[in-house]
Amino acid sequence: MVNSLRNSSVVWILVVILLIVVSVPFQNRIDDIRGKFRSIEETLYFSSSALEKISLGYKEILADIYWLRALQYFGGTKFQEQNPELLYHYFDILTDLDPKFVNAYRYGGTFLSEPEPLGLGDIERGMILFDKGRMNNPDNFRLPLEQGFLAFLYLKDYEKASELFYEASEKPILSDRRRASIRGMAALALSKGGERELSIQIWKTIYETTENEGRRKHALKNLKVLETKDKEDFLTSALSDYLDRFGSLPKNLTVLVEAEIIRKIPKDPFGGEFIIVNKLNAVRSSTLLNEELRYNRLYLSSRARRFRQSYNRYPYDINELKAYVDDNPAFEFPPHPLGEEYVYDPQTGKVRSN
Amino acid sequence: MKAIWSVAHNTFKEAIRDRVLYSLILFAILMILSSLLFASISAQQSNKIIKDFGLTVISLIGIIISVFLGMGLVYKEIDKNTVYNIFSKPIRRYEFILGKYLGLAFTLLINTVAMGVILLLIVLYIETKHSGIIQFYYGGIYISELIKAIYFEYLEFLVIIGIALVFSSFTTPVMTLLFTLFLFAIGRFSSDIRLFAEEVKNPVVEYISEIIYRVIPNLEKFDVRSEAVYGGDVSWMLIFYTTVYAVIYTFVLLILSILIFQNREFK
Repeated sequence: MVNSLRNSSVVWILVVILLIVVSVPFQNRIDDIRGKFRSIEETLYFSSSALEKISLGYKEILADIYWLRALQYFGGTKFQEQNPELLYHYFDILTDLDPKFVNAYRYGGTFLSEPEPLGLGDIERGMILFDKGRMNNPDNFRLPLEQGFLAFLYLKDYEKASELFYEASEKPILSDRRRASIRGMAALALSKGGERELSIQIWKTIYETTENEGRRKHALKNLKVLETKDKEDFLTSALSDYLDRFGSLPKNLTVLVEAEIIRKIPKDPFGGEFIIVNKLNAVRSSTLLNEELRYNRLYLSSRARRFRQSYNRYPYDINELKAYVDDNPAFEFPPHPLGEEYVYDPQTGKVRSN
Repeated sequence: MKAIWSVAHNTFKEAIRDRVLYSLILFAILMILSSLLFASISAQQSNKIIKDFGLTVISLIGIIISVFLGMGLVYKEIDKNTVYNIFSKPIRRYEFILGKYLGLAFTLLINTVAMGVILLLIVLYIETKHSGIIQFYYGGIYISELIKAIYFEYLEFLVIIGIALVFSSFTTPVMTLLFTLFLFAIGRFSSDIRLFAEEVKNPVVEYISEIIYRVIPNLEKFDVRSEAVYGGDVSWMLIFYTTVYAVIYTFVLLILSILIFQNREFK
């Protein structure tokens, strides 16, 4: 055997490689039974004080390791399998270890707050993380500014948003121009009718400052939605003028041009067309309308399924479904965007539109 | 075979001479003192703490013995020139390596079994005193999971001895210590490499990461300590797959050690 070994090292090296290859299915089976990322998930359950002791004083480097793991683990596809509580816990630990790690509050807080598919849609935990960041970093203006964005866009708490914008504008690091701009946001957040204007400002800021391509696209889409809504309002106002003047709705929008109420029909930024919704005396973009209708149908069907989980049956009719949706103060029954009635099938719990 | 057994026997005797088994006394004292202490301050969680503490100490002692004795396994014989005496007898080089490995593996087996028995006795003692509380908090005492956790720890020692032996075949003890600890650390975080391989967008980096993950020892796979405390399914299939993985990996390490040692020239 010695001679064979001496003469055939190459053969034995091949045997080593073969053994490693043979071990792969066993590794896979163990992973199947125990989970591939068990050790990473387990570290989520350490308390920050325990980790501080384990780190032997090298807290910051431990925070960096957690940060890198968080980016990989939650930044990939895995986050969809995770719950917001877990993510919050992770960032809470991370920021306990390194309270000055501003980007951890920003990334974690935004990711927690933003709705899917950008984030996890847990605005409350996102706000708590931002609150902690502001407390630990009182000189930083980005934290209150970005928290203000979230409060305005997703929490719809305009008072809180205004307070946060004002807090951000007070930070000494800001230039006079930037300070004035943020103070303008604070004022707009509270002003009636200023909602859309401020939304445009916020999405523009996010579009210009974010490095995340997904968020950038999301901001651009929202800007287009707001622009489309402006155009819808403009055309709806022209439609009202026509109605006042002639007592009935026009057949189409070109009649508004012929009646010299508007000079031309604006283009739908999404490439669709503007249509007259007779029942609502309004003009809507076909793209936004379809999207809203699709979202409402999916949402109502999902509520019907939830109803079934609680009562072992689907609601008998649309009225029962409406009562169930309205019963929860966090939800509201969305009106049909064409002013019509939804078509509901009590056998399947599915909501359709005519 | 006789030659292998002879080297193994000598390695075992040498380990005993090195007072390795003193670690048992240290372990017993640590466990008894800690059980007395934790029973009074752990708010009825002494069962969990004793298991966690006991399994961690068994693991640490086992790894320390594997690394520190493993690093000198071959080098010491060369350094003291005793290797010439050994090879003047009818012992082949591969028999020497296998004997060294088995000697240390047997030492650790005795050590691990003894420490496991001490831990088991203390856990059973606590069980008799607080069975209702343990049932209430943890749903059971999970003795079989505890034994399986100790077995898995032993499998990990077998791999670590192999790693130390590979390095000991061609470098100094200090370097062996460093390399082994380095590989041990990577092995304990192997799922990070796996995660990196899955998340990275560059196919070349993904491919390289996947190969690294497959080649390094996946020591995480030998950790079922939390099941020993909280229960959980440590199935026979898992034991089988993990054992086969440890055996295959150990074979790889032994072949590498023999290949290196075979081609080594002594001055």
